Amino acid sequence: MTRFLVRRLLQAIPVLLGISFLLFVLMHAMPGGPLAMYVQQPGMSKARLAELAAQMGLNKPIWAQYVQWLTGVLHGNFGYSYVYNVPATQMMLQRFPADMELVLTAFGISVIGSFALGIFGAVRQYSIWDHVVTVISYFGMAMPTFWLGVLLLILFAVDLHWLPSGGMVSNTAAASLGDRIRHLILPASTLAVFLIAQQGRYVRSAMLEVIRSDFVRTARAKGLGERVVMWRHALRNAMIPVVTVMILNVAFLFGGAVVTETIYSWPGMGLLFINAITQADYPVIMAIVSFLSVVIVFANIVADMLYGLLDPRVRLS
Amino acid sequence: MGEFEEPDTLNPIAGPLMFFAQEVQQSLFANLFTLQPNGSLAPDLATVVPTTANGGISANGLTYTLHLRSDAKWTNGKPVTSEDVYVTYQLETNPKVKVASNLGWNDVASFKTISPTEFQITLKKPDQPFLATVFTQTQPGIVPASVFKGMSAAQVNASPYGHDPTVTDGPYKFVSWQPGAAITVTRNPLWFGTKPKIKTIIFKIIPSTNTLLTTAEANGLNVFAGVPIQNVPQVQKIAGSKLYYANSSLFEMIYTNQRNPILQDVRVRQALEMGINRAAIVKTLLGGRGTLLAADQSPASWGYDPNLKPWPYDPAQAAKLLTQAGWVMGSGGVRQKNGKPLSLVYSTTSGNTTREATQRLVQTWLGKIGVKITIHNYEAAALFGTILPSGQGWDLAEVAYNDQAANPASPQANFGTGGSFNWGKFSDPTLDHLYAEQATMTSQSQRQPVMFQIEKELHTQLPALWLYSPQSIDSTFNMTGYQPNPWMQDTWNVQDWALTK
Repeated sequence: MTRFLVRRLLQAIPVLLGISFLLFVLMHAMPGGPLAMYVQQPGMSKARLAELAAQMGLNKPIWAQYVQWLTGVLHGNFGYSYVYNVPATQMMLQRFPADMELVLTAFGISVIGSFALGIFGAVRQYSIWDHVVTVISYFGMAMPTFWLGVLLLILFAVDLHWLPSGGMVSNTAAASLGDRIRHLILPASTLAVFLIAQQGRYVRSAMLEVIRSDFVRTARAKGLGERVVMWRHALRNAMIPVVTVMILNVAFLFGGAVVTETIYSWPGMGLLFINAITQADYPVIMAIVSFLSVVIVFANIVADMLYGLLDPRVRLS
Repeated sequence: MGEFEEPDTLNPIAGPLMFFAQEVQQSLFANLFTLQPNGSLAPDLATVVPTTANGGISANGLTYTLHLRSDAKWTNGKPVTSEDVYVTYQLETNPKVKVASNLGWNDVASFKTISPTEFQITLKKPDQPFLATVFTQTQPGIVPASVFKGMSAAQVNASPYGHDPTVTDGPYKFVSWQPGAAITVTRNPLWFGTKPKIKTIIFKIIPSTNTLLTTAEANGLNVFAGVPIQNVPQVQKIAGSKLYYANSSLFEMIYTNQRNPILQDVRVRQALEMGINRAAIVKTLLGGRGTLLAADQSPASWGYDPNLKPWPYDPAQAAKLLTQAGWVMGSGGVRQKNGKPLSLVYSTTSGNTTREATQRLVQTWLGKIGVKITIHNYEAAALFGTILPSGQGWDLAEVAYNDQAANPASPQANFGTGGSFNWGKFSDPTLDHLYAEQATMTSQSQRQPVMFQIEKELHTQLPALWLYSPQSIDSTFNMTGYQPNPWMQDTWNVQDWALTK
């Protein structure tokens, strides 16, 4: 296990370097660039633009800029945001707790929801309830977040006045736990609906495959109770493909919940990322992209290691 | 108060300039003067507006003597003095400091401190709008010497002050900034002016128009600045809402690219202008909330000549001009000259529904007079950063421009020969001469007739097709005291705002 982990970690280094170089080049290939937002300012001149380019180091060749960036990163310095004039890592880390709160809650809801939905659908395959669940989950997958989000907002915040219309806390009251939860309900549910629908489909098909296999029949033949057969024998084996999907979903949700964050004014990383891209704020883009690459690479390693735990046939040595 | 974008920094000199940052800064900082809605100066930190008549400006327009109030204080208790202005001057003119804009400051030849409340600035050349450019806004504004004195350029650029401005001199003082969520300010007890009526203001960052609207509907907002025209009916229905329509400093135009020989002929440009039904655009797309323009000044500007009439919508006359210019109707309804079709590429920022609708209308109208229009749009950053400066890939480009109260001659950069943002490579000796002439003048009354001549030249020559100046639409909820001002952000008189509920 340790050897496997060390080997995978070592393999991750060239992968991450490759990703960072590729993204650095792609980012600079985007038309516009960081100076575009200065162009329309009153009194801006070509000479002043050149001064600004020099301050940001944009007048150097791209490979030199990459080497400079990488050197900084190895010293723990991702540079200063061109727009906000604060360290890019600081900006990212300030948003991280909000992301954690939203993503983990939505994920938690989705895990419970998708297992319930998936198992239910698999056990009662082709029953009327299975069809109902299938239709609901297609609906959940097909419904665009920007539409569902606004719909829930209008219903619960505007018409019913049950829940706040956005943000993480009410600014007027002290941020009590209840207040935080009230703010969390709508965005977390919006995000969870798609996840439940998608993951629920995976759980259902994985379960269907497993409950027809010989060892489940054997377990039943041994006279084991239905509950033990389902939870101990079937589910554990069905989890293998599901775990991969779920873990990668969490990784993608960090920085990927942009639409939900926008609708509910949730101060997460996704919004920061989109703003950084439109403003061509290179240091912030690179900081977030690097962070996400690390999260995704590690999520893959974690998923691989979980296989070993779930399935004794998978040997990690 | 809802903010569509998160401010970049609250540091009055750090860049880039940003509308939403200025909105918050205006509650936190003061400058020597404010620009009133009619464009005139009123004293704020200064005691009097200097003029040549009161001796505050020397007869040659080069030396300005300014007096500060003695009762103005920073929130750390230190008085606002000439030294604060001097430190600001030093930072603004240091090329290594990443300043928002050094316009005006770069004309300063020397700075002389006379006393803590009096200083003298001498310019290198006359700059009539100097006071309004340098001493009216809060970004760029005045920084506290107690924080910035003795800092190196690198220290200034990396200063945390922009995100934690604890030393300020405006009607409100800084409380907190929750990144991505909200900025909170509260009444400043040391403020010299009238006591602000509202105790605490929260600038909520709400990056979606839909959510701004639903937040207003859920009674979570008191100010919604910049209401999209299509949302006006919904806003009107909200209890306690009051809508404000005002002339803005913004205007919409279509640059013509003079690299294309077709557009070098003024008759073609005039035909294009007359072939577009601009009144219909304002009526249908802006709900009538806009003014048709004859040239580059919005009606709020003192450079706007009310006697200069916009070109009429006259497709028959437009067709005649094109024929005169040698473009005759060819097959497929497209005019031709020497075997070449009259075909133009029309670009603007993608994702702007009003502009995209305008493009489709223009395409239809110009199609009727035999001009083929191809639409090719770009992301704003790509358009302004790459496409327009390159001069390649576009013939007509629709953009908006913000007039400056101080200086109606600022579009010189866009239309003067060799101007930094003369993307269409337009060149007109008469215009260049007029721009040069007004630049040496020292009073507004002297400049105005020349500005009107510039308007006339821009009107006839059409370096850009003039469209309209949209009105600003703002809404308040259960609040009084709001007053739109085309030259400052809406928070310019924030101390006068009061809640009614």
